[in-house]
Amino acid sequence: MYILRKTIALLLFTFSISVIFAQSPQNINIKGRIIDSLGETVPAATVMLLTSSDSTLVNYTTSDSDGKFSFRSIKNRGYLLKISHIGFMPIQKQIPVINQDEYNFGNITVEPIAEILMEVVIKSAQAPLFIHGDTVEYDARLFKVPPGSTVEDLLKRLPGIEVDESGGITTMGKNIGRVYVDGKTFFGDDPKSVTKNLDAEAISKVQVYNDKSEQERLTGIKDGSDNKAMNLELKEEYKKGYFGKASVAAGTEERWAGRGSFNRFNETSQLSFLAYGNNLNSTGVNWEDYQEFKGSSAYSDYDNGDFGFNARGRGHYSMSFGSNYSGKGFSESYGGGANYNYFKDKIKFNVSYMFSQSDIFYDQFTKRQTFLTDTSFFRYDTTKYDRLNNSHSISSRLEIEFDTSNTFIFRINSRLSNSALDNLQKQLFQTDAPLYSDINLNSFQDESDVDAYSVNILSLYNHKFAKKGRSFSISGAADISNNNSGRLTDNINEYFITLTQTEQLKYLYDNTSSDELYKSSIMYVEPLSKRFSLMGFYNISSNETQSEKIVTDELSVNNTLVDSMTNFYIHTVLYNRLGSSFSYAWEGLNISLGGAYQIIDMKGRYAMLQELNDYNNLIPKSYNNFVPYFRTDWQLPNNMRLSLNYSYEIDEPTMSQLQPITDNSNPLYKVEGNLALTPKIYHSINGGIYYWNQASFSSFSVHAGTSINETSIVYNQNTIFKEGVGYVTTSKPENVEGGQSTYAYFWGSVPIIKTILTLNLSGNVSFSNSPVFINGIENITNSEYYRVSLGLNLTLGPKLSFNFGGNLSQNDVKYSIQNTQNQKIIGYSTSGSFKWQIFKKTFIEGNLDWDNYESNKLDYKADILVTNLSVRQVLGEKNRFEMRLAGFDLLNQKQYLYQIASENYTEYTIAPTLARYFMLSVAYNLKGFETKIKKNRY
Amino acid sequence: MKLTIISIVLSLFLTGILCAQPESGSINYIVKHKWSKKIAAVDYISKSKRERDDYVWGNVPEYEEKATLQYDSMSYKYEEINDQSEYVGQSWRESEYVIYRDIEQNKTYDLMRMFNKLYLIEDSIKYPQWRILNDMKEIAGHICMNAQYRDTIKQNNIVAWFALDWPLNFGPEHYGGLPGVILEINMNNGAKVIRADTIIATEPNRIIEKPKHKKRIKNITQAEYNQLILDYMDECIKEERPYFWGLRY
Repeated sequence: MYILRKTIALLLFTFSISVIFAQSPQNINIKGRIIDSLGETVPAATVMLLTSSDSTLVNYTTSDSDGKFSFRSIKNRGYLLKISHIGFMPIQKQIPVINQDEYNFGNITVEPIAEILMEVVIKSAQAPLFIHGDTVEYDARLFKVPPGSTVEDLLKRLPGIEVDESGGITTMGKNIGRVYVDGKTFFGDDPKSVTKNLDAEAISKVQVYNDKSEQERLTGIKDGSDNKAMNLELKEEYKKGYFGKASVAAGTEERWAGRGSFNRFNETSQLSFLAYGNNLNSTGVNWEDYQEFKGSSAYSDYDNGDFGFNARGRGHYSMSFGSNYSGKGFSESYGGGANYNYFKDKIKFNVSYMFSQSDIFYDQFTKRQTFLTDTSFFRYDTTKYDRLNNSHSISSRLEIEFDTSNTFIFRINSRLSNSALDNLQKQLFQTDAPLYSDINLNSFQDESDVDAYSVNILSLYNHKFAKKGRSFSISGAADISNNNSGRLTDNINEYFITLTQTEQLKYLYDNTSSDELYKSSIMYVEPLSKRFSLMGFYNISSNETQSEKIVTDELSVNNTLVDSMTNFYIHTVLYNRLGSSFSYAWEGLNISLGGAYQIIDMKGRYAMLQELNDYNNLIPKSYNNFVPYFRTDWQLPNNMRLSLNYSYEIDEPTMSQLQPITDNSNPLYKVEGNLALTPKIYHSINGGIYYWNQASFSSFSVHAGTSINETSIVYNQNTIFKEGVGYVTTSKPENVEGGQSTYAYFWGSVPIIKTILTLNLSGNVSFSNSPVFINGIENITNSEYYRVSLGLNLTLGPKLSFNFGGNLSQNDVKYSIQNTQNQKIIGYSTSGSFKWQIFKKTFIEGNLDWDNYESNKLDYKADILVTNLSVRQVLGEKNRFEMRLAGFDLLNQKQYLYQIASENYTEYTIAPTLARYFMLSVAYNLKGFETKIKKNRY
Repeated sequence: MKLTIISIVLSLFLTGILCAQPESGSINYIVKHKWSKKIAAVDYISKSKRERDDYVWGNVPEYEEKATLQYDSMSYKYEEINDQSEYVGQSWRESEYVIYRDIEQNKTYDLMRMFNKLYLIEDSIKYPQWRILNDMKEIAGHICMNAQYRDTIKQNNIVAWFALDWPLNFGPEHYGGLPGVILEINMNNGAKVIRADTIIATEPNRIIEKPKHKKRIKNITQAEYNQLILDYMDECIKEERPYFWGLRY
């Protein structure tokens, strides 16, 4: 009350300083008295003075105990007086500009709000009632009707509305002559056609008001007719939206592309279709397209049910289109799918189907120098490769929130795939400088065909207890996969040094393998106080792998079995982990400290053939360890985050590493198993700083980490020169002590001139030393890598923008056994791009990338300049069409390049890939294309 | 006849409530954020981008927060009070935001973190030009009428629902100046909705304390605050990025 009096006093003071002189006085007083239809006074009504032009509030008061109100000394300019009171219909009165200095309304009569409406408003306070002037509106969602009911059934339940036997509707004794849906006539003028046919489910609001006659509509003069009309407002989810896109493109060099997508959605469901195909080396869809396809489900693929810290995500599975593709060579890809999401109240449901096919083919050349303890040799590979992959995937996820304390998630993913490979490889071995004489030529042909399927099922339940923060979760999952493959290898080795000797090996492999993983986790969280909490978890998983490999010698008379390579095995790994952590969490500072005890039990048996049943048992292995855990992150008030984490990791050897069998499908490179392997054990520490300033639009982050091995598993190499064959390498996984790697990374973005010029800076360094034994002598490979990159983003108004960038990197690799082999790779590149809106609907875009590499070994230098240029024109009244003419790699220089220096070799690879072509494309967008340059950030 | 008697009884009864309305208490508000509607209301971002976001994010559930307004006969204080205890072992920093208004002195004392700095807006209380509309609905036991205005600084449409039977002129956040307590603020057709959930009347002698703040704070006037926001909005419009990435909605 105090505030009100205060405000009024202030206003009165303001207005009373003016004095009235003219005939039309400057300031006037307004007064009146509010009574109801029985003549009783109405106290405490809100009386508002509004401007007559746009109802802006000028002043307000309340009626006193006699129902009287007054406004004193207010400007004489005409007002709207509005009176409202909770028991009465709001009323409005005009106040014109007057000649006297007082305007007295006398008695103003207000009409009570109908009893039936009061009941709705007051008694069932949950049901909002909207009064728009003479319109009364109900929220239909609050009047429950059984599913499948019509609007007529709903109307029968609404207070103040009566529906007779024939379906006629009346309110307050008056007939409702018209029924609109969202303000529009629905199937003609008969109201029954709506009320008897439309589903009550679809209605959110019911409005009843005085319908204007045609005459009133035209003239604005009330003709006294008293027709009532009803409007039914549809729920948001029954209002549909859609968008769709399609494009086709054709170019030189037989290039083509096509794609189309369609999305239909409303508040609760999303349905989308997508199809694409091209031979432009784009084998999948990008993240933006994937997000459009999956809609709001794009982010929910990641629950794996492994609770606790450092959980391994065993059998983790995520779905996407296509496959990872390095951009090497050429490809032809197709794909498509459908996705459906249903999100309503406490249910989230998603199901999708995807198909993808890609054919990737290339020719490549590799030069490798391998060095041994005191010598080295060269190998030149030419490869012709062709792989055809296709897959069908179906995935579904259901999340139900039964109530605020119980949530259930069920997810299933399945995939059926086929892959056919045809690989032809010629390896020429040469001696070291100065002779470079040919040793041998190994020709290798590999044809294989793999059929595979996998099914992953996960269910997860979470319960929150009445005590806030206390919760319990349990999960169960099964991952099952199966592989069937046939493979034919044909190997011819020609030895040149003495007499030319030729050896041929031709094998047929029949492989079958299956993998079954069952796992479960439980977790319990107990808050100890506002800041401290305790978490306990238990993970268990059992994984059984079966594999059978039957190898026959295709050169023998009866295709006899190759005993040394044929084998069958069954392995099981049982994993148990019990852990707990203690956490502090308060105002952005989170610290967790914990530990877990884990037991990994491995056992297995093997035989040459499953049917022979003469198993050898592998010595069961059990790795028992305590693993500590520490994690902290701190959010400072000025948008800075700091984090520091430590973990102790134990990775057990894989079963194939433990197998006491030698894989000698390539007679020049054999891989052995090792029964004596122990797990890889290492410490991992990482931390970072992230800062963001929203006022200056600047941000930076620095991250660094190190990983220190206690023991690791490496593939030690033993290379011997075998007379009549050449260099034969045997590789065997073994444990070595030591080895570590460290990295640091920074990234920053600072506007130099806000919204016009932005500088991006990033860089990283990494150091590693990794031991490996070469012919029994330990070699430590020290690798140092430095990179710095700088970018500038220049926006010259809304129609022109540029990007420039530069990148410098250096990789130093040093070997302890032969430092003459030390290698330095230097790379530098520059890039630039522009976007220019040259006319209203015409855009020119272009970019260039100039890459240089240099290596002090292998006489290798690369200098590649790739430039692209395109023009596009948006067409049509609604901008629904777009034509684009583009030239790619105008200088025809594009190539695939790869360089590496590792263990005891350095190598580089070159492969031709899709270079210069020109392309014309036409695209259609249901919603129209943008006629603005796209901003990079959003 | 019956109708009139009921309404008389009712209005007398309600007048009784009105007179007995305590002069101190608190209102608990529930604040709901709907991301897709926020994006949909940013008219300086391309239409296709907004339509796409509406599709991708349209059925992501609303994000909910809690806030409280405590008042006595001379002042009121509005602040967000989020309970993080449900998320055990993981805490985050709440944005600092307290609106304190001394009604007797007609003074604002709005404390907020903005653009990485802590600001204190001390000025006289100013209200927007509300347009009074015609709808009525019930919120937390009160019959409310609606009013609206266009916030030309942040470019938002604001609809307020004020109680017809509670003639005090304050409301959540910085909203006020209507003939009754504002029990609901609806920004941009549901993008952010602050709605009264429960109203607790307490004993009349309750005193609302002025919020305390750290020493390092920047004092500004309402006009300076408006200019800061306008400058920032200008940059956001040029960059075509939603302002609420770096600023309170």
